[in-house]
This record gives sequence, C-alpha cells and structure tokens, in this order.
Amino acid sequence: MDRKGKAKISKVNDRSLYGKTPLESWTGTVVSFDSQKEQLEEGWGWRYRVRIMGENTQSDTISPEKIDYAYCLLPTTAGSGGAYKLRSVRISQGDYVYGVKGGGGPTMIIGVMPRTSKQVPGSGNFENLSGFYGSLKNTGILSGEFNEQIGPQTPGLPSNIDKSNRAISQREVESVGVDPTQEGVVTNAIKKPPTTEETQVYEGNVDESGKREPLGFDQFKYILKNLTNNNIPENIEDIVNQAKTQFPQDVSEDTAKQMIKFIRNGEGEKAFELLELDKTPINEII
Amino acid sequence: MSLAGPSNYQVLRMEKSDKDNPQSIGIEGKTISFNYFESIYSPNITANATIVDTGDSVVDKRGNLATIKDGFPLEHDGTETLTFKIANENGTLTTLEPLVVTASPVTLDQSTRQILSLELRSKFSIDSSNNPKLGTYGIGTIDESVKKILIESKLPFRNENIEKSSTVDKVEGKNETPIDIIFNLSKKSKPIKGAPGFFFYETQDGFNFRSIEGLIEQGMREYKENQNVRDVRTYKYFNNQRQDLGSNEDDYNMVKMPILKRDHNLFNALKAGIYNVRIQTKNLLTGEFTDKIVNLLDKNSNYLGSKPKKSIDQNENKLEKYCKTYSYVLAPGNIDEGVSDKITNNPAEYEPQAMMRYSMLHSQVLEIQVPCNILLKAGNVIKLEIENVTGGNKILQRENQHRSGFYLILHLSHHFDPKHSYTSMTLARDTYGLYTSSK
Repeated sequence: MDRKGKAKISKVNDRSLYGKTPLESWTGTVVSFDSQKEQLEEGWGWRYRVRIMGENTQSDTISPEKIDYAYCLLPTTAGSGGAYKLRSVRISQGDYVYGVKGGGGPTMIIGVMPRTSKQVPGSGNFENLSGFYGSLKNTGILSGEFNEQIGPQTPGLPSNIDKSNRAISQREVESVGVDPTQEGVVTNAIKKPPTTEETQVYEGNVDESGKREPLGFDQFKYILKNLTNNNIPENIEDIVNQAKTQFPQDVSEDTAKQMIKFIRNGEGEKAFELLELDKTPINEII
Repeated sequence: MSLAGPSNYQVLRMEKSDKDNPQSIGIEGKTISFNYFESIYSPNITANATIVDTGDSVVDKRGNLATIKDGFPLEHDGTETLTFKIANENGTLTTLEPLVVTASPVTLDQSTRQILSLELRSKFSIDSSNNPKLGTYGIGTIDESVKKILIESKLPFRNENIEKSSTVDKVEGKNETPIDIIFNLSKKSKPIKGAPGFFFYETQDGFNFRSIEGLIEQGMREYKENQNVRDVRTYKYFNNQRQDLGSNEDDYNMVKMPILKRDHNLFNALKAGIYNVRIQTKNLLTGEFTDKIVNLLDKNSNYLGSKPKKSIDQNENKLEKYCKTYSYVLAPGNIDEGVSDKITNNPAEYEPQAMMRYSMLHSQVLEIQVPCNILLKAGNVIKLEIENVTGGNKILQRENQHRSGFYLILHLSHHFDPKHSYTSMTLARDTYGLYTSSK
C-alpha cells in the first residue's frame, strides 16, 4: 500500500501507456514546401516539416530539410479514407500550426492558426511565407491570404455593402413584373412572356446566319385553317417546313409532305385535320 | 594517519574574479565542514562548506575588515569560486575546475561571528546553462553525438568514460543545454552488449556516459584483475570489530552498521515490469498493430549478484502472465530526410527494457559510511563483506552469503571536518548473492 492507502499494483501502467503521460503542446511554422517536395509528391500520410517555436530559433542554421516531420491528426468530419470518405488537409507553407507530442507517440499537428488581413511577411526561419506554391497561383480572386470573421473580398462585388445598407433594387424588381411601390402580397409577379399574334403574316425571312424567322404555333394553325384556293401563301412550303423544324412532334416529315400535297390540291381543310390528327395520342390512333 | 582522520586542506581558497575588486582568500582555518558530492543521477558535482567568520576575513571596498559574505561581497553572479585540494594517504581530492558559489545563506548571524553555508556547483553546469544548443548532430550512434556535444561545449571527459552505444538515433539541440541533451539520451541508449539504460554524470575525472552493463562489467573486471583495486574497494562489517579510527587498520571497515534502504519487493518488481511485460504498437504508415508478451531480461546482461530468475510462476516456453503494459504509436521516417519508412530507435525496443534494467538495479539499496576514501567515485563497484549470523560454526562461513557481494555506488559524499573525514555512500545492486554467476 502506498501513503494514500491504495495498492500500488493498481497503478501499474501509470506512465507506460500512450495517453497516460501528459502530452506536450507546441506551436510552429510549416517550412517551405520546396524543402519537403518529396513528401508532397511521393510521400505517405499527411505530414509536414514544422519548425517548432522554442526548439528552434529565428536564426538557427538547421536547414528546412533537416527539420522533423509532424503528422496531421484530422477531425472526425474529414474521414480516414475508409469507405472512400475523405477530405484533404488544407495546410499551406508558412502556416502557423498547433500540436501535441510526447508520451510515446509522434509529433502531431491538430490545428492551424488562421492568418489575418494584417499579417506581415516577417523574416528569418519563422517568416510568414505565402501559401501559394507550385500549381497554386495567386490569381487575385480574393483580396488576400487570410481567414477571419470579415472574410476576403471577391472582385466585382461592392466591398462595403451588406444587407443592412444596400440600395433598393427597383429596376430589377420591375423587370420581373413587380411594382416596387405596391404594398401587400404580390400575386402576379411574373409577366406573361411576349407572343406572336396568330393573324400576323408570316414572311419567312432568313437572317445573316441562315436562320429562318420563327413561326408561332397558333400562327401556323391560323394559316392552315384559313387556306382557300385563292388564298394560298406563296411561301406555303417554307411555312410547313419551318413548322416541321420547330414542332417536330406535331408535324413529322410524312405529315409535312402530305400537308403540302393537300394544299396544292386545294384541300386545305384536310391539311388542317392532319395537324389535329398528329397531336392525337398514338394509342388512340391504333 | 587513519583515513578517517582530520581533514588536510592543501588548498581551500575562495576567489572573486571582479575586474574592479578581485579578491582571494584562504578559508582553511574558517571551514568547520566541507562536503563533496557525486552521483550517477547527477550531471554535476556539487559541494557545500560551512564557514565560521569572525569579521576579519576580507577588506571591503571602504577599507574596513568584514566577513566574506559582506566584504567580498558574495553576490552569486558566477564570479565567485572555491578551489580545493584535500589530501590523505590515498591521494588528493580536487576538481578539474574551481567550483562556483551558487548561494550562501547565513545560518547564524551574531555580533561577533557569522556562520555561512556555501553552496557550490561544478563550473561546467554554469557554462552549460548559458549555452543551449540549436544544431543537429545527425543520425548516428549516440556515443558519437555525445562526444561531439561535449567537445563542442568544452565539457571535459576521458575517452574511456564515454561508452560505445549500439543505438542509432538523431540527436538535435532543440534549444536545450548540452547537459540536458545528453541526460535525456541516457534511457534511449543501448550498450554494445546487454540491456539499454545509461547514466550521465560528472566525477573528479570529468563527464561520464556509462551504461549499467558497462559499469558493472568494468567494476567486476577491475576488482578481479587488480589487487590494488581490491584493496581499496572492499569493505567489511563485523560486529566484533574495533572502532579505532586513529589507526589504519580500520580504514576499510564500515564505521557504522549498513542501513538497508530498500530490499527486493515483488510488488514493485511486477509494477516495474522486471518479469514479463506486454508491448503494443500501432504503425501509422502501415496501420499494423502488434501485441506481444515478452520477457525483457537480456541474456548478455551483467549482474552484481547471481543471475536472476527469468520469470515467476510461469511456463517459460509460452508467456502468458504479465503485469505491466507499454503502448506506442509509431510514425516511421519522421526524423529522416526525404521520405522514409524506417523506424529509427523504436521506443518499443528500448524503453520497456531500459525501465526494467533501471528498476532492477535499484532492487536493493544500501547506505554505508566508511573512513574517507577519495579514490572512490560514483559508478564504481565495491565489495561488501557483511558478517554472517549463524548458530553454527562462524569460522566456516564468516561472510553472509546472501547480502555480501558487489554493489554499485549510486551516490557518494566525502565529508571533511577538523576531527574526521568520512565517505558516505548509497549503494545499489540488482540481484542477491556474494558470488556472481552467468549460469
């Protein structure tokens, strides 16, 4: 029995198991990726060489290649790779990281200190290197390398406007058919899209790119319905072919040929009936 | 003159290397007690001296007589040192460099006298404390790195006192003092033969980096091969012996009964993993998990007594019983340049065995006091002959077969005062028995 009255044998593994001895915490700076290229390109695990504050100094002469690796401990949300569940580590060169070591285990990185917009480059062994390395180029898409409560700005967006001080988007609201001055619930916000009147004469003009003027379906039905021997448009074949192009489900190749044949024979009503017949579900025809 | 006789200070001098007011004073006549300490646990020699000062020791800055404490004055800034040379028939006790005064508390302050206690420490510990190391000493055997550090830091050593190690490891400064770096390497180092476990300590000869195995082997060999060594490293304790400290005849008798501070304890042995232990490892590269029960006794180990039993109450062909468990998370290649899958100096292969060996060495701890023997140093092996208690014929077996035998000096103190000189020692040994056995 020891002085506290407990059998000594009960604490036999007091200091011999991993986790039973207090881990030491540390902070340090991830050295340049140039000096750990081999690990980045063909290494194993998520490991980075870290210059540990206290163990190293601003001016010591230990080259980055001789600095020991620290092993990244990932959060539970990152996944281990099991069942293909994984998220990559986002540590950059020059990052200031926090970790633990000792107790019969490796030196581990467990967190990253976020950079601020006011961070200076610094100098010496602990300089704040830019995180851009290799294929990662600074395209200027964000206003700086930092991660803080006021995040970096993106181009094209006003930097100083938020929900509290933005202007009323009157023009945009009007464009969707809403009167910005109207009070209460808006029920008819979306405007009816513009349509071609069925009575409008179809010219069938072709533009510079070779595209023919679009034909409205109601316009086509109106033309067919009002065909008489004396009133057959000169461009009736162009009209039917345009209908075949625009409405293939209503005017098939065969239907288009039959329509033109009926119209030439002065049987405009039959051509119109073909249009109605083509819209009939196929099982009803059978 | 007996070795236990009064102190004979050839030199006992305090100096202050102050540029403006350098001082030097002999304190032989004022010193009522001087104690010198070595320990294989301690990387520094320490000492203390008690001085009676009547106020006429030095002249202060204003030209008045004063005590050393006030007139020197003692400020403990590293400029105050004490040089000593103390002689007896065996030789002279001194250190390679003067000791530094680190503190001087006054124990008594009266109108006519001041009693001062000087705390002294090896100069090298002060030098080392101001000289943290930042470099890396590469990957190599640990003894090579130890030598590099000692040479670079101007810490004296004899080549034979830095024992060869079979352990390959990366040694880095990490902003630690040279003494701390080497001290921390001790438990990681394995000798060429036998179980791991080194000590780093300072003696009169300088610094020592020695394994338990090496100290035992060398101590036993010297004792067996050299009569002179046998003469000065054998101590007897018999109840009917005379205690005439004025005669040389009692120079190698203990002056009082040896005190057994610790005896082999089964519970402690089990807890320390002296018998079987379980070792688990998880490799972060391969994911491999290993789990095995092993017996840590090394067949090449040297013991101060008889060879230990391999295990207790156990089938030695199939290890099933164990008490202590060690577990390690291994990250291969972390100290290597480039990308490597090598595990350098796997802690699972040295730590359990080193812990076992350190614990085993301390199975028996004994305190003895003998007439001053300045030839003894921490780490030496001495032989004790302790009287046998028997109802039979004592002439047939004078020495106790169980408790007599070889012991390793853990701590050592030479004490000097105007009447006597003694050496007090704390001894340790791993196994029982007057005779050693390799069977």
